Amino acid sequence: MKLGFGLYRHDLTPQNLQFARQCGATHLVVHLVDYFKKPESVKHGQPVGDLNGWGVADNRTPWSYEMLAGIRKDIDAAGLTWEAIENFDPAHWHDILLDGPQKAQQMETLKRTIQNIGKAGIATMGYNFSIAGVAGRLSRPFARGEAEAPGMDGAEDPMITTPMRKGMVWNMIYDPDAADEAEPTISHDELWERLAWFLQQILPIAAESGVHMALHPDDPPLPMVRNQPRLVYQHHMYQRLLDLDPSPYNGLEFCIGTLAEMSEGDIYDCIDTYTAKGVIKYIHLRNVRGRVPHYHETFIDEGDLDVERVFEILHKNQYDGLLIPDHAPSMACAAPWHAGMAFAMGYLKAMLTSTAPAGSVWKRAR
Amino acid sequence: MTSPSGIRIADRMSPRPTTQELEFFQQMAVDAASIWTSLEDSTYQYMVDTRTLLASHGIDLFNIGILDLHCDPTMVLGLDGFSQKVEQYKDYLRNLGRAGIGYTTYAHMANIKMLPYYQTAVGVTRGGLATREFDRELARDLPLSHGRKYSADEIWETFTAFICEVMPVAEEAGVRIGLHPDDPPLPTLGGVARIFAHVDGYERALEIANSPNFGLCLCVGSWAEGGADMGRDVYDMIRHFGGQGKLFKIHFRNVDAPMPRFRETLVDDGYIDMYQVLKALQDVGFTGALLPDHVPGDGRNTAYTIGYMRAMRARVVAEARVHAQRA
Repeated sequence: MKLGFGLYRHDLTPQNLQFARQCGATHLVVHLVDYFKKPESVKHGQPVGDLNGWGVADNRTPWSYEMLAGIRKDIDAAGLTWEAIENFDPAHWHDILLDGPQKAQQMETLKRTIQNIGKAGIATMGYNFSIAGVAGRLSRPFARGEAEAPGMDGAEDPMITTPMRKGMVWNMIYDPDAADEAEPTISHDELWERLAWFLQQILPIAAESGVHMALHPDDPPLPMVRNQPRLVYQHHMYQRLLDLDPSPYNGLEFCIGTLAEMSEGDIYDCIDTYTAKGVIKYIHLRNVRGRVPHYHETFIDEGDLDVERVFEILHKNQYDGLLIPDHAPSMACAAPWHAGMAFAMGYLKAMLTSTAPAGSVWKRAR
Repeated sequence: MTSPSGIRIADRMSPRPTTQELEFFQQMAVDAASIWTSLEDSTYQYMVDTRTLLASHGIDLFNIGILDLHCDPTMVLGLDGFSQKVEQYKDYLRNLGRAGIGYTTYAHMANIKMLPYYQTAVGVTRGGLATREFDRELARDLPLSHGRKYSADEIWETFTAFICEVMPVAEEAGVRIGLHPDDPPLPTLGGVARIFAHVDGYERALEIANSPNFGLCLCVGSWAEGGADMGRDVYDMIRHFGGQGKLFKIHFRNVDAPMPRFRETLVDDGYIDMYQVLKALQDVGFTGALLPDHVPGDGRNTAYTIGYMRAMRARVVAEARVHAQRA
């Protein structure tokens, strides 16, 4: 198992790379999309938005090998390994998600992108196949000591129920000039068909490029958000993804926080099942209290999830991939985001090492 | 905030904590706090007000230390003013007890507050953090810190005079005193003997104090700095003194190697196995405070350390529960 850190693109400073190492990270997951166009997002250390989402996704330039290699050089210099990229840019693939007119052209661009990712030596591409995206969460003092954290208090909030308008996808605006009307809804099966087509196109290139595709479950995990269907909002729905293609490059970005928020199923069975299959490309581990539509993200040690039990399962099934804390409540100090992440990382490092079985290299790293 | 075991995770707080700092402590879920301040805050009123403030946030103020009466050359070397300092210490103990604060740490080093005798260079530890580095060979060449040599006998004499004066007051006030080992633990430094640099020093101190209110503030980091020269290793120290109920407080920090040269590290990055430290503490039924100590970096790195401590404690407590069920 490897312990890592997720960083947004604007966070990729030498100071933050060093900070990741201070927190015991050896590997990085990087978000390349700019979700921080609204000032309040910077304050929270997480994207924050209204009905117009997180802002405009207007960076249409595909990710070149040179751009990726440049970032990789900085990460290498800090003594870290760039393990994964998280999420495609809505500007690059909106018509793949929405079955729009530029679908074929965007698919060709994504194929080249995957080749560039492989050439840059990045092992995994995490993605959300989600139309509405991470929409509808509140940010409130939900965690211990009035710490600000995301959550949900009922599915009736207009942020969840208001139909998504045209020109939006993945909770961002890709076309500010789109007609001011709602994006038509589609069935769950149609969404799965779009995913199947995407995988059919991308997986051969991913395999050839040595890049593992890893699907994140829908956060928040509701059947519908903003009148658009969700793909993986119960544990067993991940199996449908695996059944689409047995390729070893078709896997999971296993967000234990989101999975714990789901309305049905036992989270420990879920972790056991999918780690035993060896299909997890990397893990997000955070804690949460409650389930949809009423849940609050918490500090790593205060939610419903027994993190010790999670690590016991991971060790039992010899999970050897990357694990990152994903996000954490902001803490009351000069560096709220950093402190929140650091607290989670310290907790994870100690739990990982103290639950490691005899003979594990982690026994020597505590 | 209840703790899942007798081990109470604590941290240092500033003498006049802001609302933000109190919230930060609540968010880290520390059980208790310790404050360092000055002689002017050794009053009963300051102590009780501060304790009440922290209690209203669910944090137990278990110690207020007075820097003027800690590692003070007048007290350690027996200089003019010794008696006055001892009287101040007694008043301070009485105020602590009256304010319901039942613990303080004492250390008996004359030159620890003089930087060259504490740190010979600024080193770098994980992630580019500046940290204390100490090289015994460089320290050998330092001038006398206090004008002449002071023998171990002289330092024992002042310690004995001090502890025999204050222990009856501590007992009456209901305050326990934990003795911190010398840091770095060398037989002599800057010409002044260091008497708490080996387990034998602790054994002798316990005999002299001869009080249920006298025990150890075991600094894992300082002890680790000494390595094999300490007579017992850290884990053994915990089992030995913890078994006798003499461990009052633990400083939970790590170093990269024992002397001749060491650097302080982040808690999980040194040569001491911190899991074994916590396991030993749980095994001996330790019920005192466990503090991170001079964490390299800033509050973010402290949050990392507290998170680490909370997980390690949860783990050793769970293991002890399983073990007890099997037995």
